[in-house]
Amino acid sequence: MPLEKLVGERTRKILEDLAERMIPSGGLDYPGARDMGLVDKTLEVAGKFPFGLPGLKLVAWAWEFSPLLYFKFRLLTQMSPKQQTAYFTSCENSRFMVRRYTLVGLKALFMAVFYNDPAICKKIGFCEGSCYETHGKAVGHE
Amino acid sequence: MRRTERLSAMSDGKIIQGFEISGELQESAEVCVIGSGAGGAVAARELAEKGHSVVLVEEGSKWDKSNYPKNVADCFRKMYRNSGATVCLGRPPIPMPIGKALGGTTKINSGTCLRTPDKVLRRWRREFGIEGIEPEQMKPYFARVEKMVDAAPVSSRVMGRNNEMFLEGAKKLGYSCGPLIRNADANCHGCGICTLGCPSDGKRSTDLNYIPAAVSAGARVYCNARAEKILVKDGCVEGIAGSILDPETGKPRHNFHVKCKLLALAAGTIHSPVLLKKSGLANSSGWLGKNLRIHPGIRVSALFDQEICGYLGVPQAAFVDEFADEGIMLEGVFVVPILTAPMLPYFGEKNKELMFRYKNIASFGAMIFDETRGRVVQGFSGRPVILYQLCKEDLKKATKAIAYAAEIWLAAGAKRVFTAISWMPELNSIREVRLLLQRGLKASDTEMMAFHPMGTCRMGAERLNSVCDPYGETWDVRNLFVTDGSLFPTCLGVNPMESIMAFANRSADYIHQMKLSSS
Repeated sequence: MPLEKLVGERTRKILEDLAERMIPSGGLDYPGARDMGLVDKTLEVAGKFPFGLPGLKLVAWAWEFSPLLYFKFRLLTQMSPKQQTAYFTSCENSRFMVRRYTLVGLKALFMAVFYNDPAICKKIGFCEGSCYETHGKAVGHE
Repeated sequence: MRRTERLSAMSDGKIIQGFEISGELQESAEVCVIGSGAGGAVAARELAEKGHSVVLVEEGSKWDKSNYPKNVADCFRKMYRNSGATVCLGRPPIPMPIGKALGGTTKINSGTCLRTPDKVLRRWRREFGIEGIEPEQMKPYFARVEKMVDAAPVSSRVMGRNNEMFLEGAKKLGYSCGPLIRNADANCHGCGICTLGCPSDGKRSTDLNYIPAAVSAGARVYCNARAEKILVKDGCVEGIAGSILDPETGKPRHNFHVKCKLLALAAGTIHSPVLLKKSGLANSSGWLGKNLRIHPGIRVSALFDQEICGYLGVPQAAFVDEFADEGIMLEGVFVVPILTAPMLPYFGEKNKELMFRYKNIASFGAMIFDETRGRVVQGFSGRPVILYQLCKEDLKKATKAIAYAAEIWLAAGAKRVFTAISWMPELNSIREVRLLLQRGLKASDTEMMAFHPMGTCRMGAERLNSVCDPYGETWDVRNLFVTDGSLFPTCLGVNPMESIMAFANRSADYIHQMKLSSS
């Protein structure tokens, strides 16, 4: 089933905002979430795990409503990019452990997919020498 | 009607994978081993070579360089339990990845081989009355294991700049340090991804040495076979029951049943107690699943002006044991970008900036010898739930561990040091290190990881406060042996693989001499 049917437009918008705040775009030489279609890739990866897609939707909507818990009186997608960044910074600096850990989880979710991309690995210099890709080839994978 | 496959006890040894089994499976052997990691593989090989018929069941699949997963995400999905997302619940929550493959966690660990420290063995004798484990008595077992797994110090060829830099810093400060010993041969190219399995088979996990040796000696190894119940009759083990799983989906396809005289349970520190609990066994002391130790670990990263290329070379190639008396051991750790990025501080532009200098990042780990006692309980649908609440003493050790690692990085020339502390995400000078030591940590301030679960079926000389006797046989059920890290009564202070192997070897000798010699 195409991903568009599994994830509605609204959920996609939330995911795009979340991804873009975690890894902001910066063009071809300094790519970020939008530059490499991170949301699509994340959905694809989530689809491989049991309960991956429903879990991802749940995460997206939990983040969408989370500002209300902290008296922001706005949904996440209703905030401007600057306000969203400020909101995530408040999560990062919070002494409340759960808040900080949920941000770490969100980072892990998108960064795991983003930095798994061979093009990104090359950009950051990971695929030189005897690394995973070279060995992958050595043992017969594409 | 389902076809029932019966394999005679006399059939040749082989490895049978889940997809090769087309119906219900009935097996019988003198010894059944659950788990193919450091404990199970050793027990299987030792007993098979002594002439006993052995069946080994392993929940994971068989992976080697011919079918190595194609990318990092696949490695996690296929070789790790819960895709690597096993977590100890508590404050802070501590991720604890565990392997699920032929070879168990040895397939995805760093391969460090360190003997149980003499003082730990003496402490076990003194405090828990465990006889026969004097350093001199254990020496032959360690030597035997080391020979089998090709244990040798990491050579400078694959040491990597990350480890070299840390050693340079430690030497400048006069700290005791050196290369680690690990289980690798000449095929190890230092590709830096030991924790994703080994694409070159250079790391000698048990599926490359002990399991093939067991199979050559006649053992039959079933992959994708999950043990679900231990069967007991008149206080003595009778066999196990379980399911053959679909290798792709992990869903049960067929049932299996193994009839045996003796069971060696080596499902790991987390799953062994849960299997015993599910079967309603071995908990007369009330200690089953308790006494969990995990060696909580912290990663301290650093940014250098020059390129380090930490991904080249063995990630865990060096140690600093200067602080062992304080309960702290520093060991190398460097991971692929997908794991580095979330562990670095910040998000957005600041995190991306750091990641685009990935080549300049170095990283080292610190593990602490924990006093905290966690526990493993049975959760919904029989899955284990791990509870672990870090105690104050361990938090003090964690504070010191971060400070020592940061001090060494700064001595090595790092410009910025990244801790996993919420209120001090980076350190730039020794003054800040001292500030950290003065202020200390609270449990909720840190992010930790753990890799060495131990102690949930602890052995001891008295049945009132232990689950197993000093050779690993449960006090409550005859011929039911535990041969994994759950046996250890305290934490080791070193990576546990070699200790698990040596103790499994010792148990196998005991089983052969005292339990099965008449047959």
